[in-house]
Amino acid sequence: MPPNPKIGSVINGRKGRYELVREITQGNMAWSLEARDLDHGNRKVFLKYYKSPTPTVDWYEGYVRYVEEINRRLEQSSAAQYCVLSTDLFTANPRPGMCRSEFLYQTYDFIESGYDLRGLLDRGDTSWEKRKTMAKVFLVAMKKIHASGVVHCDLKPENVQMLPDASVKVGLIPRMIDMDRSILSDVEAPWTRGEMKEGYTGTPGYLSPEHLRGEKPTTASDVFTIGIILGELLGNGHPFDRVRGDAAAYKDAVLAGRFTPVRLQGPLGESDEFAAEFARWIQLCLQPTAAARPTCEELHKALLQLDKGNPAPAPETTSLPPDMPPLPPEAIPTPEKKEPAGPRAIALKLEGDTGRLIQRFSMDFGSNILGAVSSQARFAEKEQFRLEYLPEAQEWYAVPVARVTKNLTALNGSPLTERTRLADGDVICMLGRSSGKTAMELRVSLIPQM
Amino acid sequence: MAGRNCADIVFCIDASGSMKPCFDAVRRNIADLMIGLQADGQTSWDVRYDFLAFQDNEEGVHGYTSTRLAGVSLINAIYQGKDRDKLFTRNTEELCTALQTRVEIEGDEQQLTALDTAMDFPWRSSGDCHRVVVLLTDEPVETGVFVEKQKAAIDRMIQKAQNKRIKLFIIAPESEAFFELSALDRCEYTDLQNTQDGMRSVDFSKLLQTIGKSVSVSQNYSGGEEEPSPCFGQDEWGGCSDATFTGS
Repeated sequence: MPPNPKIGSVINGRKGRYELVREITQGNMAWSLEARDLDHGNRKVFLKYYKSPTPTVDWYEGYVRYVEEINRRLEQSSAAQYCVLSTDLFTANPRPGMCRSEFLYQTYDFIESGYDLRGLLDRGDTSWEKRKTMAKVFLVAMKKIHASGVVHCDLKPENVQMLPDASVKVGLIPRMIDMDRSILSDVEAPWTRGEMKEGYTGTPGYLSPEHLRGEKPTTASDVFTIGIILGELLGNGHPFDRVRGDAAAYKDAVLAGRFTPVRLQGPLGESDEFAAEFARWIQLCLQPTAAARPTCEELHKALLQLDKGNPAPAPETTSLPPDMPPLPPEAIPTPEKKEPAGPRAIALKLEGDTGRLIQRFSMDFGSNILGAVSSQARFAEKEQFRLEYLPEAQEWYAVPVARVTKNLTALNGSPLTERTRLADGDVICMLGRSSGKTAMELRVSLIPQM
Repeated sequence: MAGRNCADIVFCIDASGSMKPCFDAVRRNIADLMIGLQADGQTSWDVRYDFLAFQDNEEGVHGYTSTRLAGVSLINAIYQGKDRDKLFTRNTEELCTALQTRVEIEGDEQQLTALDTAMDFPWRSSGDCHRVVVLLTDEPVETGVFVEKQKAAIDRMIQKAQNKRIKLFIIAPESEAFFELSALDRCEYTDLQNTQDGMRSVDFSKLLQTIGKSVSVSQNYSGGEEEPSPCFGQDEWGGCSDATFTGS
């Protein structure tokens, strides 16, 4: 990737010239940018500018051919509609005249109106019916991708884009992204060979047993991660949630098959029994032995059948290891009763030592605005936390900013590490990372009506 | 996959005269960056740090300083193995104090030679630990000393960094040499538009995030080169005082 992309500069691709418009994100492997295709009516494209691989690695040429082959196979199969496929793949010099170095680029269709599964999971207010639909279409997509001989290898909710599509019955189509390090089932990935070899890409918290053992991931590895995602989408959360932040503990738990038993958050085929049965299917996906996991096709078929109120056929491909019997339905804890709805509020009052403010919509808070209510706003950064309002539910949430701040935001004395629903009387403050001292106390009051 | 959260980080810092106005700010930013990494509540980390502050002159005299060593002692520790245990520390306060008290700001700069030396620090095994070098300078290579000699070594340095599995972050002004060097796989080059502001324009929190992300997400692979492999003959440099040594 480097040097940094220069907004406004033009990169010469194979199929077009791309003017860089804005940076969207910077990942570990690439920058993601919005660009304009100057040769095709200024069409908006999504452009990736790679930090890795660069042409200096010995497997670079092989990598380019490999990605082209993956694209070709997907394009020529029914999986094409379920992937965001590359529209141009090329090597170019980002600063002609300034340097000789060239870097890898790929362009894709720009997705305007989609959202990813992570966003949906974080919202927490998606109906059970919609979650089931998402699970079904997600499994269709993965079934098709596997049938084309491709293993995604880096599945996670962020890499599943959900796009509105009126042409399909459910009005929604999933498209997989970040397939730069996907692999072909029948051809070894070039980056796993040679002196500068690397391993298979994956994301902490979603790595399969094969990833963790340094083995070549297969479609069964994708199925393992699909099991985790289904746990989040339909079940009681990430099955390895307790250990996902600790690499060693996660590895131990995954390889030992120690996960939180999955229980679905709603019925299938109007029956809790069928829901419990599909929970067992998800648990099969989480088995450390690849052969014990069902295929995507079996999983999809089971979900459809159970949701129609029919028993699902037994998986053909799995043979459960003797020490890992499936949990009988009665061993699966019954779903906890849903938390009663908390107080509703159309506004929120934030009160510090020098003033108060009434908030009626979602907003980022930082030192500038907090200066109006607290004499200690200097301990906050320009963006310190976000107060989020869900108008439909009339609920307020405190959300930490995505980046590391000098001082932590704390809610009622504990670090705010995830989106948390606010209650009347909560106290938000700054918490020194090393000193543990608190400052800038702000009392929250929920205002039910004005 | 062992050591996902294990990293060795060397800050390779220009301590030439031109850095005088901004060295304090750079030092503070490094301190913040280290505190940020240590305080990351998301994951558990095992991080060792050191720095190599460098100043050079046209006679080929180099002044290198690290947290606990300087001059020929430092070179000997890196290339002869003497007192090698004095390289790297987990004590961030010790490193910050050393940056404040042990580094004098003067002279010219020969960034690539210093960077090459930083890449020869005694890293933990690449199979267990991520290796990171952060180069901070306010001058392009082209305005320093021994420019052509340094530029001639770029291809070898890229090869060396790749063999050693080193992830390189460059924070420097626009420079043809740094552009060439940034062809190194996974290198990140932030080209400074303004070097007169104590590097205030550098978003150190973003740098922290990027380092943290790359260290936590990517996997380690063993098989990388472990022994020092100097591109500028540093292993044959001789001392000329406690703090300096010669060799061009």
